[in-house]
Amino acid sequence: MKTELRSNKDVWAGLMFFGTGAGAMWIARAYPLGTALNMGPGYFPMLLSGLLILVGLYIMLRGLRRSEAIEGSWSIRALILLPLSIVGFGVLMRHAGFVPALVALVLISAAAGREFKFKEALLLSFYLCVLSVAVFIWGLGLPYPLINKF
Amino acid sequence: MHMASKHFAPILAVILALVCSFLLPAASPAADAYPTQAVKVIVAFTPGGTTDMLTRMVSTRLSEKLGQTFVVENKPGAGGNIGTEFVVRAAPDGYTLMVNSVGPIAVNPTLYQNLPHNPITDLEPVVQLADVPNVLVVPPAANTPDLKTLIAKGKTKQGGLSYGSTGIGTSSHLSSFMFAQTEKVAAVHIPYKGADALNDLLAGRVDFMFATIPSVMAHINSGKLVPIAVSSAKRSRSLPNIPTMIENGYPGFEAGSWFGFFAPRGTPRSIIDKLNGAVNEILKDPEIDKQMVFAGADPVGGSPEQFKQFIASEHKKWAVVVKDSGATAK
Amino acid sequence: MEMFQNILFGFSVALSIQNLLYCFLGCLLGTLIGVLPGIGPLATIAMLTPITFSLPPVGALIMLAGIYYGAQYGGSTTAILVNLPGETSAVVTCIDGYQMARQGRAGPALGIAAIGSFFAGTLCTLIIALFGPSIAELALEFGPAEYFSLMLMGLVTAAMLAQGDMSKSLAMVIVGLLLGMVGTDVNSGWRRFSFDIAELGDGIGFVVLAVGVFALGEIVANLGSAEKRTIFTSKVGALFPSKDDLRRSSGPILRGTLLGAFFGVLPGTGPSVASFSSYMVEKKVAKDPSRFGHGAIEGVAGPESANNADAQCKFIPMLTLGIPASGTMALMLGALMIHGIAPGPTVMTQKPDLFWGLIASMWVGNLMLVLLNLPLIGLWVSLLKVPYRMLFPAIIVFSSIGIFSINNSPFELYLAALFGLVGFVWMKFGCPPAPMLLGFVLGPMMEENLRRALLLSRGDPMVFVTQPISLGFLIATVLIAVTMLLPALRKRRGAITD
Repeated sequence: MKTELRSNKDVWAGLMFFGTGAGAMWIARAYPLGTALNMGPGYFPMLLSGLLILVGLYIMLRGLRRSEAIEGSWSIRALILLPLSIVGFGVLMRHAGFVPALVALVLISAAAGREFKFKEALLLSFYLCVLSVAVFIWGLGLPYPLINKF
Repeated sequence: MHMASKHFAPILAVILALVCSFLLPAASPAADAYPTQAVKVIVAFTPGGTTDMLTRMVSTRLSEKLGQTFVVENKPGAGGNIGTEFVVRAAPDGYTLMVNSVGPIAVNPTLYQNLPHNPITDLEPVVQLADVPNVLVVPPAANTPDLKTLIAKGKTKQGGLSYGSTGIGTSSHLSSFMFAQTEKVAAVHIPYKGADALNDLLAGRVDFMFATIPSVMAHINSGKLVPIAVSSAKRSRSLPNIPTMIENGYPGFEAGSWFGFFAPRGTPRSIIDKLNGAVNEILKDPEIDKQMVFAGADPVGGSPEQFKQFIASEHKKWAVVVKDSGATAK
Repeated sequence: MEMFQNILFGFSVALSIQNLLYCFLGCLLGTLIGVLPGIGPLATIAMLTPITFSLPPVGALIMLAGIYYGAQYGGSTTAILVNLPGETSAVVTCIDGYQMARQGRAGPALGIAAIGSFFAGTLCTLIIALFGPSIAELALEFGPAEYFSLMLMGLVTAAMLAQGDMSKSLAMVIVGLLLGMVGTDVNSGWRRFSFDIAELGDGIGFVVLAVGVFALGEIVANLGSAEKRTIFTSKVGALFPSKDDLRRSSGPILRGTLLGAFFGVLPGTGPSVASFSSYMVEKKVAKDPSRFGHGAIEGVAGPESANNADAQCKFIPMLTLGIPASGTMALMLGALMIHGIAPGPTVMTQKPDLFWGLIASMWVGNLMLVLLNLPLIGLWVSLLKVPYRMLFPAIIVFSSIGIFSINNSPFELYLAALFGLVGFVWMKFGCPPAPMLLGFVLGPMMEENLRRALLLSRGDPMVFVTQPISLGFLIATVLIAVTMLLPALRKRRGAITD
């Protein structure tokens, strides 16, 4: 049975490798190449990105002949919320302090799950805050303010 | 009863005055009160390096002396530029300080293109902590136990000498470059990541290297490396028997690492003076002195002005060497 | 006989109440930071160094060493339980350890990791005591040419990490090599693929990449699959390895220990090279290599033993040659110097209490760790009974704090989040992450040493074949490549004649 092109695992993987290789080559063109016996900073990146382009092409073509479908769903909710929670933690660590950053991290990441219950997540964030402050701030002595002064 | 209250009034007044005298300075930003909260000391390098070690040594003592914790925080990356940038942008209230070294302060402004800050004008020097001179070492099997034989070997050896360094644009690299340039010896630079250079030096694959004294002290003691000269103005207290490059006939050959306290520009002078005084006292402590010399560092101290002048001369010197060597961080 | 006396003397030092306490404190702290990703022994030891100034040097070093190898024990725990590598070296353990946990065999996986580590620790204590100073010289035999040939061999064997699809594994190795190029080029000072971001000047952190790709990618995948709501609760199974597990693991543990000891002596091999090698060797010698990647206990036993052996033997070049193999070792070297002790060949004769006391304490520490870790297995496994909707935010919390603490900056977090996304996409496209990580580890070392060797030889490529050790590795590389390609060729020819 033939899989549709847009869910063809190998075609996508090949395309990804091809794109990565081409991108890397584009960036690396600025680096001095040198020679095989006196390599510049561009020699290895050029060689590797060239290889990646070739392997990518091979995987793509093979995918066109022998197709395998991508399994499972894309879990868009988790795919958006999880990275968002981590980035938010980073921003809040800098501007708001350890405790607010943690609460936000737990609440947003917990919301990525299908069985999200707000009250439970709030309770969880409380427990994790107490535990983290005890372990990281008091125990290991990490130098972060609990709450920033504004 | 009546009598008692009459007597009590002045006592009460004295107590009140005493309490006020304790409370009032806390409200004003005067230096007598500084510090009233924990002080952050930024180190622009990873934990465990010389900068980190010296900082932790002194910070522990500062906490005891000034009654507030001095917390060391490592912000490494980009040759120390990331941590330096962080302090340049910090509030100049005396609660963010840094211990920085020759690299980010005196070398990087020339080495790095488009550095977003100028460490000379954007940072306030507080006090110089220590000098860590480089020592020129060679493997014993090379049979070049002094400068004369090393130079002679450089003139005859096919392909020239090879020298290791702890990275491009480090004082280790630039010292060797200065030496080879002065003597017009053909020498190929083999850069390593930090201390990795030791392995090839011990095995004799590279001919010489300017290394920080602590990193090779053990090998000098065990005879696995031969020290030829130190790159400081005066002989190092860790290696009192080894002559300086200047003594060997290289006038002005001063190329080592140094470390000192800095504060963001605009930090009140009173705070800088207080810190300067405290650090100078700490450096005189025989225990700290002993620990530093064991670690290969010569304690310095002095006033903020002396440090500022020293930095200006260092900046000028390295700008020339970096340009001559052609080293850049693109 | 003299050696026997030395070891006895060492134990008399290590077993003093005071030193036992330091050792225990170190091991306990090490286990804790080992479990937490990002927070490594380096930062912890740096923080503790000022305290150790006031301790006696032997006690101080015993405690610091305990933190260091304790972290190697702890690192595997979260790798097995939730696919979160607590330390760099635990990445390999994720591959089969986590699969075992998913099959309800977290207990045996944790048990064999502890037992393997203990065996490795014991054997390495003996190795250091018996041969320490004499094998230390081996490290000096390895120059850039030797390291390059060794890395090349590692890269060719990387095909062993492939599961099924060879070409995708190859592509992933190359992706890893390219990711390894990010940052300042040692030889030229050029900052490659850094997009003018200062933070990328020092390259991508291994822990950031590994936590992103393994732990975060896995969480996204788990949240996406509807049928596995409470993933672990159903099966928890046995707590300890069965007789069959032990029988299967004995070979891998022994081979892993020897491999780890070999890499441990070489200061120029980064962390996790030993565990990767052990994994590939076990897969090669296994009767049924297809079990690997699906919860083969050999894939946990070997690498775990290898990484503990590697960690322990890294003390050999540090103590006897004064060459630190890692930042942590450099820090311990520094702590020694502040106490006025110069490491090097003379340390054994000048400070016998320090040298032999430390060696004996390593064995004592390993014993403590195994006694500490085996009872904890029950606790760890019961952690898996926590509903996943509460477990995964906790994993994210600990990963995030740990990653933030690496450089005290949010940049690494952004990077980890990005790699979490990328890791999930790779999973969807059937691209295995392990070969990528091997490429990432080996790539920079290979390029650096190749270019350094050519600089030293002034452009003469013959250095790689005139040096006997380098030549040996190159020949081995060719042989490995042939044995791997031969079955494939034979199959093809068979297909044609059919």
